Amino acid sequence: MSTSRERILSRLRQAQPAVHPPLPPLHRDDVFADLPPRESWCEAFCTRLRALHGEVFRVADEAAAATCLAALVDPLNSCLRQRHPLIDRLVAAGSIAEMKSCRIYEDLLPGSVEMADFEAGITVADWLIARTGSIVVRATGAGGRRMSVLPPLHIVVATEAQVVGSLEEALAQLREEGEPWSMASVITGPSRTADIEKILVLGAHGPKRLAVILLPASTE
Amino acid sequence: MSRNAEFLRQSAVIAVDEVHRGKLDKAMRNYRVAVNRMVDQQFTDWEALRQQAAAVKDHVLGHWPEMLEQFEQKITERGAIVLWAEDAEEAREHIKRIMSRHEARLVVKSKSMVTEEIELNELLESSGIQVIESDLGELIVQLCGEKPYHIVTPAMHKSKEEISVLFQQKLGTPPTDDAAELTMAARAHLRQVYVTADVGITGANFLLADEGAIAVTENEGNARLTMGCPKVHVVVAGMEKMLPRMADLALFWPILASSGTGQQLTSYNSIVRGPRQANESDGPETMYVILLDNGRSHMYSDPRASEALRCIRCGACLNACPVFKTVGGHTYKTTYQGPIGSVITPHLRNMKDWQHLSHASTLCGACTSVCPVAIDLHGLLLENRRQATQEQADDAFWRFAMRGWSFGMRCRWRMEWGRRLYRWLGWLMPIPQAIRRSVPRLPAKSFAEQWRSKEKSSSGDTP
Amino acid sequence: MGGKVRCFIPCLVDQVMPEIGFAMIRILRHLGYSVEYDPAQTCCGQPGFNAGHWKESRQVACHCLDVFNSGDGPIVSPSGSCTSMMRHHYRELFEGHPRASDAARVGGQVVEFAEFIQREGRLDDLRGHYAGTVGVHKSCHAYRELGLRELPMALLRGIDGCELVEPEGEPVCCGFGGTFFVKFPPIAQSMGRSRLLSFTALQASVLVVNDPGCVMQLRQAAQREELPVKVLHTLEFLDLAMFPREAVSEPQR
Repeated sequence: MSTSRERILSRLRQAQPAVHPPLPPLHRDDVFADLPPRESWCEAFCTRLRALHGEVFRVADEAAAATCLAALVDPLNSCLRQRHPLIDRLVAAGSIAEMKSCRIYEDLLPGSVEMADFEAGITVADWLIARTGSIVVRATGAGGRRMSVLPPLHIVVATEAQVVGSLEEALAQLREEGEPWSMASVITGPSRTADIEKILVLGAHGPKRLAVILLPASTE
Repeated sequence: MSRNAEFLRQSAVIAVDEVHRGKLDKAMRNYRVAVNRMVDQQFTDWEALRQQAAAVKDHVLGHWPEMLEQFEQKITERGAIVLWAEDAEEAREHIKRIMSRHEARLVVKSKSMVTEEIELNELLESSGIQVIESDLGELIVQLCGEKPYHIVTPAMHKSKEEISVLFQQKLGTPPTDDAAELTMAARAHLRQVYVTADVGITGANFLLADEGAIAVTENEGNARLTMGCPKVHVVVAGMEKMLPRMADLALFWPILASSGTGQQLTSYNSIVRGPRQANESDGPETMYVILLDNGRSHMYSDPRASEALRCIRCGACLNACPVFKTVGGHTYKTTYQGPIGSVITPHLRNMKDWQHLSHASTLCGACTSVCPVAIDLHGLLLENRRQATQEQADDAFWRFAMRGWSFGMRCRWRMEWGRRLYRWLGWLMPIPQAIRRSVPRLPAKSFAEQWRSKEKSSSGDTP
Repeated sequence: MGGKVRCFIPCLVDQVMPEIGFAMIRILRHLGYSVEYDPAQTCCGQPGFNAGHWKESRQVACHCLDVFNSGDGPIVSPSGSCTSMMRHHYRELFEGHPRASDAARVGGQVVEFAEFIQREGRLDDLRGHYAGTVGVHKSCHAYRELGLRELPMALLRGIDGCELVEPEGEPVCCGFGGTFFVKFPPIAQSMGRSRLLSFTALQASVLVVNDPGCVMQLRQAAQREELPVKVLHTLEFLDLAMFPREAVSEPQR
C-alpha cells in the first residue's frame, strides 16, 4: 500500500538537489551583540526582565525570600504551588499555607476546572537567561505545563546559580537534560498582546504579572 | 469573475479608502522603528545573520526527506502520532477522524496560518464541533466571520471602536474604547474554554529534526494553554517548518521575534516533544502531528521557487510592502498575503488563477531587503511572471501587447511612429482613463530627433 | 579633465521627457566630457523582462547590444533602473545565449549618472544655487539594486541655498513599477499620492527624483492631486541650479 507518507517522501527525494550547503556551525558570536561579562549576568537578567515589565526581587537569604513571597501573595485569595523542597520551605517560613488557600498543584486532579480560578502560581525554574531576561521552565519541573501560564500572577523562585548567558547556552543545557520532558518554555516577560491597534496590553491569556524571587547562588 | 478581475475591482475600491489607509498607517507606524532598534541592539551584523539563517534553511532543503523521517521517528518514540497529508482534503480527513475518536465537542485553537490553509474552522463547524480561536486577533476575525488580514496581526484592520461594538454583540461586553478592557474581555471569555475544551489545536513555527519536537512562538500564552490544558493536542504544520537542530532556535527565535514584532524574544517560546510523560503532572494524553504537503513538494521541485520554502512567516515582507499597505490583506484572497503570498500562492494552488499577484508588485525590493532568511522575493516574483508567460498562463492581451512592444522597440523609426500614433490617435485607442492620466502629453519630437536638429545647427556646442 | 562618455537615453526620456536627456548632456559637457550619442538606440528591454516576456525582452536588448557593442568607454544613464537591468539582469536574460558575452561587456560599461560622477571624483564640481526646500525621493532600483544609498543626497551637496529633506525611514516606492502602473492603475495612483504627501508634509516645494519612471509617475500624481510640488529629475534640478540663466524648458510640457 502506497501511503501519503511514502508518496510525499518519494516526491521530495526526486526533487532533492544534488548539492546543498553544509550545516553551518552553531557558534554565532559574530552576529550577536556581545554578552556582558559573566559577573554581571545577574544584573543583566534583572535589567532586561524589568524592561519587559517583569518584577525581580533579589533577596539575601531564604528568610527574606519567604517575606517577599508572603508579601506577593498577601493581597490574593488563593494560590497554587509546585511541590518542591525550596518552595515548601519558603511557604512554611512565610506562613503562607495558614493565611491562604495555598494548594499544591500536583494534588489537584489533572483535569480540574477550578485550576482557572487560582490567582497565583508559584514555581521554580530551570535556567534564567541574562541576555534576554528569560526564564526557562519544563513541564517536569515547573508545575507541569499549566502552572506557569494559567494563573494571573506567576511567581518564580530561582537562584543566581541558574543564570546562564544566552539562549544558546540554555538550549545546550536543555539538550543535555536526560529526564524525559515533554514541554519546555522560554518565558520572556508577562503575557502580552498588541493585536488591538498595536497597543501593548499585558496579561492577554497568560500571567499579567511575572515576579522572580532571586536567591543567592549558595541556596540549595 | 476571474481572480484577477476580482483583485482589480477590490483594489480599486480599497486603494482610495482613506479610513483603511489610516488604520494601517497607525498599526505600522511603530513597527519599523521597533524592528530597527531591536536589530541594532541585538545583532552586530544583520546581513551575515540572515545569510546564516538562509544557510540553515537551505541545509534543511538539502536533507528534507531525511529530516522529516528523523523528526517522525523521534517524536513517535515519545508517544506522539505523526500523520501525513498530501493535500488540504487529507488533512481535514485526519482531523475529522481525530475528532470523532475523541468525541470532541469543543475545540480551542491557537493562531495557525496552516489551519487557515486547510480551512479547518469551516470543517469543524460543519461537523457540529464548536471551535474557538484563542489568539486575540484571530478571535476578533473569527467573531466577525472574516479571514485573517495579516499572517502575524490578523485583526490589523480593525479599530478599537469596531472591536468594541463586536464584543458588545458577541461577548456581551460593556462598551469601551480601551484596548486593555477589550483584551480582558477576551481573556475572561476564554478562561473556562481552555480547561473545558476537548481538543487543543496549534500550528508549529518550527519542527526540530534532531529532537523530534515542535516549537511554538507566541506572546499571549494562548498557545501554551491550548497545548497545556485539553487532553488531546493536535499540531498542524507545514512540512517546510523544519530546522536541523534544537540549538538552531537560538538563531531563529530571535530573528522571528525581531522581524515579526520588533521584540528580542516573544513572551513564550515553547518546545513540545510529545504528549505528557510518565514523570509529569499534566499535559495532553494524546498528541498528533499532521505534516502538510499541500503543494510544498511541488514547489520544491522548482529549483528557483523552492527558495521560498525558507520562509518562517514573520510577516516582515508584508509590513515593508507598499502594495500591501495600499490594498490591505483581504484583497489578495489568499491564506498568505503580501509579497510572500504572491510568490508562493501560484505554486501552492495554480499559476493560471494566481499569477496576477506576481504582477501586483512594483519590484521595489523592499520585501527582499527585510527578509530575515534572505529570500529573493522580488526576484521570485519576476520568475513567476516568466513562468506564467512560458506556460501561457498569462493573459492573451499582454502576450499580444508585448509582441507589439518588441516589434516597435527594435528600431528607431518604428518607435518614433509609435509615439506619433499615440499623439495623434491615442484618444481613439481603448485605453482606460486611469492609465491616460498617468502619462503626460508626449512631445512632438523625441530626444533623438531634437538631438539631430540641435547637433546640426550648433555642430557640437552645448545644445 | 573629462574624456569621452557615451549616453544611454532610456525610452521614457527619449519619447516622453527629452528634457532629462538634454540636462544630462549639458552637465556632462560642463564638466568637460565629450559626449557621444547614437540615435539608433531605443530601449534596454526592461519592460518585457519585468512583464515576464523574456523572448521579446531579449529581442529589444539585442538591438541595444548592437548599438553599444561596437564602441568603448562608460555608458552614462540617467536611470538606475535601466542601469540595473543592463548590469545585473542581462546576465539572467542572456544566460546560455550566443550574445551572453556582449551582454556582459555592455552591461559592465553602463553606469548611472550619480555613480559616474562619484567614480570620477567630480561630486564637488556640481556647483549651483537653489533657494527652497527640496525633497529627495530615492528611487528603488538605484537604492536597492545599485546600492546608491546616500549618493542621491551627495550628488546635490554642491548646490547651496536649499534644504534637502526626505521622510523618515527607508525610501518608499512611488508606485511606478513599469508595467505595474498600467496593470493596476488605482494602486499605482494611490501609492504615488501617498509618497507625494509624505514630501508635502515636509513643506518640500520641489521634489527631486533620480529615475525617469518615478519622475513621470510622481509628476502626474502631483498634477492629478493638484499638489503644490514640482517634480524634477535630479538632472533637471542640477541643470536648473547650475545654469540659472539658461532657459530650461518647462518640465510639465
